Amino acid sequence: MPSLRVAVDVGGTFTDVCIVDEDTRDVRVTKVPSTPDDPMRAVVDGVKRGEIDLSTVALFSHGTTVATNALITRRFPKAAMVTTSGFRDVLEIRDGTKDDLWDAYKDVGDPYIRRRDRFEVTERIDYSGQVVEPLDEVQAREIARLLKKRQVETVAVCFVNSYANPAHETRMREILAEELPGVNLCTSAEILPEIFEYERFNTTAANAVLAPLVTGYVDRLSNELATDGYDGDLLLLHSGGGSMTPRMVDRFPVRLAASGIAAGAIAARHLAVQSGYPNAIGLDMGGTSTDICLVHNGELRVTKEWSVEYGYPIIFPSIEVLTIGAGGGSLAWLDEAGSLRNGPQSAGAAPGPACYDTGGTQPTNSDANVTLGRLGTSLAGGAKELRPDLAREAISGAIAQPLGLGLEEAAGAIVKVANANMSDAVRLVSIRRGLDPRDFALIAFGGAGALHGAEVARELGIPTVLVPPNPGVTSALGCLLVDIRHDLSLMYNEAVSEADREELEAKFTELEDEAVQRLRHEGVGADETVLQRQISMRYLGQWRSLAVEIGRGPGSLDEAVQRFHEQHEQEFAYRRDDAPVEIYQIALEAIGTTPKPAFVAQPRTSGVMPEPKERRRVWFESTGWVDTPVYDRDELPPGSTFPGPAVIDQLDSTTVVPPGCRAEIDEWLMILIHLTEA
Amino acid sequence: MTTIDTTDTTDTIDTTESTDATEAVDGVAASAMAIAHGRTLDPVTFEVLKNAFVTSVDLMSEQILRTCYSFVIYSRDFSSALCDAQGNTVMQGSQDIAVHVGTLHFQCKAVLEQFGDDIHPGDVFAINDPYRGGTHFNDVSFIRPIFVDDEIIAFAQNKGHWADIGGSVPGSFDVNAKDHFGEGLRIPAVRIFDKGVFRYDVAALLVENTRSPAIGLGDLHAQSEATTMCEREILRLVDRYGKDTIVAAMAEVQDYVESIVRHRVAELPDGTWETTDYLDADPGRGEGLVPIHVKMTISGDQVHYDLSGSAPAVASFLNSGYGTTHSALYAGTKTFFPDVPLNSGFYRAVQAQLGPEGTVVNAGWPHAVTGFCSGPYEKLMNAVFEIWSRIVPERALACCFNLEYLLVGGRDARTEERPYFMWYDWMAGGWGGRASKDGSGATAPAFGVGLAVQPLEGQERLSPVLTTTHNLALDSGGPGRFRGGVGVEKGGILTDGSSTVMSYC
Repeated sequence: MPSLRVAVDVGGTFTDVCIVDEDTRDVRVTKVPSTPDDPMRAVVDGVKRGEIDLSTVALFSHGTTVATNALITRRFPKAAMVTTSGFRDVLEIRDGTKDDLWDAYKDVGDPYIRRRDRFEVTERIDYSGQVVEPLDEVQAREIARLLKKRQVETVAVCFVNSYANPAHETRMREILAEELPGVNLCTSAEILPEIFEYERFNTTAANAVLAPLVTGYVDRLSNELATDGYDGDLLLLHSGGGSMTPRMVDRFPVRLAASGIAAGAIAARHLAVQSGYPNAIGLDMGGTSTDICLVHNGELRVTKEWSVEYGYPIIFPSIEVLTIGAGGGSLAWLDEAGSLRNGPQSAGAAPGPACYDTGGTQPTNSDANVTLGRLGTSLAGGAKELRPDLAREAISGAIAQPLGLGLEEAAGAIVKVANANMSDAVRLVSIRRGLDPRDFALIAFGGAGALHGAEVARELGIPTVLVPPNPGVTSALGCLLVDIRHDLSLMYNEAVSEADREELEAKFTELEDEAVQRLRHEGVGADETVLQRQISMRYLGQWRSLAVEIGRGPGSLDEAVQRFHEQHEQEFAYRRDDAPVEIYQIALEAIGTTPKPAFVAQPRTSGVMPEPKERRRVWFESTGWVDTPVYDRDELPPGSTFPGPAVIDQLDSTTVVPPGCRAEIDEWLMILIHLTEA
Repeated sequence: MTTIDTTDTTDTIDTTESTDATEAVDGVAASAMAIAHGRTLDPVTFEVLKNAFVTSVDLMSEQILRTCYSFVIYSRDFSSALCDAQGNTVMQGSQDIAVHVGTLHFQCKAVLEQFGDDIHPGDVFAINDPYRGGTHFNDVSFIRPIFVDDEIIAFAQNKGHWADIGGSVPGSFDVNAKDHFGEGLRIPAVRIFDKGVFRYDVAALLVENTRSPAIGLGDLHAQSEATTMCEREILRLVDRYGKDTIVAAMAEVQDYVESIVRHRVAELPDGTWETTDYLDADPGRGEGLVPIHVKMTISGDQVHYDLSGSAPAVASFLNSGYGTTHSALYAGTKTFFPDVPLNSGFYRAVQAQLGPEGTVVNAGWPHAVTGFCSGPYEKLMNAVFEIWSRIVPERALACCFNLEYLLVGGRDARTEERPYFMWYDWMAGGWGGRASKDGSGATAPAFGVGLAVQPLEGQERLSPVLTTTHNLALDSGGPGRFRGGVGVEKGGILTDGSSTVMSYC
């Protein structure tokens, strides 16, 4: 009986493999260097290192940055776009805005499909779906033949107003299919049946350029795993926080665009809820950046508007993750007015922080943490020795002397500014939603999250910090914790007072039929299928809408309208009960539940504390240098509690418990740091 | 993935002219020490609060974007700011457009001057007056005082472009307006919330004077409620750090910007530079260039502009009031200091003498001003680009495209109710060539880079129009080693409109 679940998370530096044994509840982790030229090598290598027999694996899930990287580097196969005559450059004109409004020397990146690969065909449909000009089939066929000659591998069909009537796009696709057998084809109405041409076209273009690449990668990996004995489905984590099988990746590869980033957020949600914190903010701090996510009432925030890069939106539900340039390697510096800054520039892997002794001379957050004694001089179980003298030298020259501060004060200030930047980002994801961070726990992970977590929490007034058992590989775990999930939507623009309830029901049924068809295609049975209807509404005249859940049967629409008023008030602090409400769109969340690893609570012991493995001096702002015990995490039993200051070392991370806090190990082996109990 | 940079800068430009690198570096360090010692706040608290102020303004902007009614505001024709108790701008948001930002302090000061002691917790004021430092009548500001212990410590403000504000043509852009009475409703400053109570009478007076009262009322709610987001955030900071610290930080953020600008200006050679740009013609009088003269002096660490010698006010709506003229000079200058936040500290280091009232760049009451944006505003910016390109050649920027503003309004005959429609259209265009590369093509106009091109599928739903093309205008950037960016070509057909009026500038 296959009993293993394997999750692989490919990151920029490391590929993490997480193996959970369902019988023994054993969780094993291997970490191998990533192989960016062909990420599959590291995946296969990592699995081999884990010494597992693939025929004993029940489920293999995977979070990948293949799609993200392709979009960033623009390394695409030969792609083309066919669009309405007169609109060849919609993809390139975008909305004309820039990320940096004031820097006239900074430009937005190139479109995903070059001008020379964009073709116009005569056709036009108006806003109401009426044909203004029929599709010129002779022209359409000429274009198809030209694309064949050019050996194009993938084509996006993007026509104006196709959301209102997709007939011309569908016909164009048929013509292309006849002339270009075997070439990947997608239409904008199929990928994203929504108003606003630039967002729809770009999402479709992104889907087209990713199609052969991502599909190819997924197919190769599936075959490789099958050859080695795995006979289940390869599940791929998508940006929306669900997974999909290779059969759906074929049609919607763009949904993998944030696959790697979503994994950490999913794990954060699961672990926080498991430890009894349905409201938690995830702080995933790595070497160069920090990813912040928000769990409210046990759910992650999902956004529809996001992009891998400014100017090229991908309009698919995606877990809201805010990435800021603050990591262990972020540089501390002074600007001309003598203000202390931190990041977003990073020393990265090369030249690295000064204390790594790999050529870096500018002070980083890691250097500050070493100088303050928070980070030990020996990392990863002795695999890496740090040079505190180089860290001190860097901080002294660049920060302490110019500001007239002592060395410790300067290092403390560096950490404080980094913490302040992360705190501001946390405020953006919480306060912006009308949510007070003080009602949340902070779940700190990634290589550096647990070093900074407690002080970030203090800055925000957050009472509790959670540190998962394996902070450095938490993301991989996320891949094992999701269901198969599809998000479908349809435009349905009608005032609530005018809405025909039967027609609305028919539209929802249409979505549900499509969803069920997709899930069956992926082998999901009826008893594993969950469908949740949603409806987006707005006050008549508003441009943005809010999505709320809607039930079935008579009265469900009126209930949804009430929910809309309530949510509008929660998000924006006001409601207009007298104003007419309009339906904008209907949507469906279609879930195929998959079995997930069950974690088992460890019995709490009487909490006898082990001897610290060492004691060292650690500097805190409130106390100055203070003698601090350093514990080995593996030796801390569930149920134990101890006061700060304390440092907890483990292979993939270091946790700092500042003075005035109390730490506790819960039954899930989570470290809970309580800031309010002295 | 969303990436934000909470430190609000990624690169610093080096405007240092000194050939002796060591000396320059020492100069920076010495000045840094002096400035750091001049503060009452420690560097950390200062940095935290500086970023928190940006956040407080961005929260307000985000809410407007998500709750607005006007398609114009939805396309980001709005801006927000946090002002101090005297009305000085403390911080703008990270996506706010140039044209508004430099005027927000004038509007706030106008409210203070008008209402003095008669300002209370829960009040919200509306103002759109170009003769009190505003932009044009369509841009309506909402200003909320933020009180702590019965004392005003700050104002939250946002300014949004309403689709219509009355006047002689739908959309309120009348090229031929002889004075402001043809341009729409002038709101000197009125109280729209009185101690927390919404004043329907005043709101009705405003929106019933527009062609789309429902949209106006929606935006009025969206904008005035959004100020509570900023207020909430500032009060949280007061709770956390204490009132005195927050008040001090608001002053020191301005000092910080002033000192950083002064420091960089001091590194530049003293001197005087002059140039003249022109409006192509005055539509009210016919052919003939209309000169705008710009003289700039750097003296030590001070930048001073003098616009004396510019033409008298024109007989159409292409005039600029003192608020927008200042704003153009600030925005043009800031283009050469892209990483420095714009606030009243900046305005102290960059000052201007506009010359006598009654000119095209200092049009007082009752001159028509609505077309200032595609008129003097961008001419001034381009003149400033030209001057600064001589001083900082590595950041040089040739003349940018001039905003094309097409407005067709009338009755929409597609439905029986025949509502008014306002088909606003502005386009992206080509920016000037640069010292080391071509200009950027199809980019939002200089007067507001945050201003988004409207999606045509949205326009076609709102107005009886069928767009025929929206493409790049190839080779429109001109020849040269580093070419200008390319412009954009757009065409459309009016379908079922009646009583339509077209304005264009």
